Amino acid sequence: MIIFYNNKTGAILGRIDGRVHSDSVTNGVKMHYSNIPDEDIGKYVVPFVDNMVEEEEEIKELLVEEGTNKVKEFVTGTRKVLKPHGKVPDVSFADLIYQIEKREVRIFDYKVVTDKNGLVTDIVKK
Amino acid sequence: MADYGIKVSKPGYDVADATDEQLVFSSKFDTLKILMVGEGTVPSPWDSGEEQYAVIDLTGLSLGYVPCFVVYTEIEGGADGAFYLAPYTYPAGGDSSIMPFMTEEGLSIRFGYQSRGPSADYAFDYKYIIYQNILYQY
Repeated sequence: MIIFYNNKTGAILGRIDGRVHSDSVTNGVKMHYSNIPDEDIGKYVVPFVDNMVEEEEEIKELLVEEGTNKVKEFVTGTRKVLKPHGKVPDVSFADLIYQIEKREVRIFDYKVVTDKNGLVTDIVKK
Repeated sequence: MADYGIKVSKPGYDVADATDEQLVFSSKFDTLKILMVGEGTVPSPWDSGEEQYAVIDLTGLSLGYVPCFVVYTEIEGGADGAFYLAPYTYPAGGDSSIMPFMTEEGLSIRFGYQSRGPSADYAFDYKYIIYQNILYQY
């Protein structure tokens, strides 16, 4: 999800849906508004990371089959491994991002909060 | 179909030898493929007396063609949360039309200067879908 906002007021102006974007979309797509100078329009790419889930996986080994000279693959046990299952928002306001994705809230009723360096720290109700 | 692609048959048909009519989907069909989906909002231009534009700037994608698109928008006199397929022209006349147009540089949505909502702080929300399919190529 890419959010465009007025960096003077925090007002959200638009967005692009999606959790993963090509570099050309992430870096190349912009929004303009005739009533807002381009330099006042900020762009926030919501960070998403792999959702790592612990799963049990079989341990397979190549062993010589008893009583023969044949090498076969045997399941010798199980182990816990972390595997990615989709992506999750890597922000403190992840629940709101889910609500926006599901269209449970109107994103334009919220505004972006930035720190003194202009980095987005939160999205809050107007 | 060549030896690559995907297809899905209707219930009861073997996907391996189903005809096109017996499929619900085939990657050889020239279906619309989504490039980008999103939304935006524009304050009612009525108070400013000037038309307003919202632009989704695609120059960074170097598309080289004009992509297919659709825009849905809230309108003057429409219920909150009701979206109309643009372009929209208010039947009584005046410059309250909402006109989206696409070039290979991006999607522009023009809100006529007489577009107004029910209150001074009203904003028109719009939703857009831009497809990868070529609408026009020079």
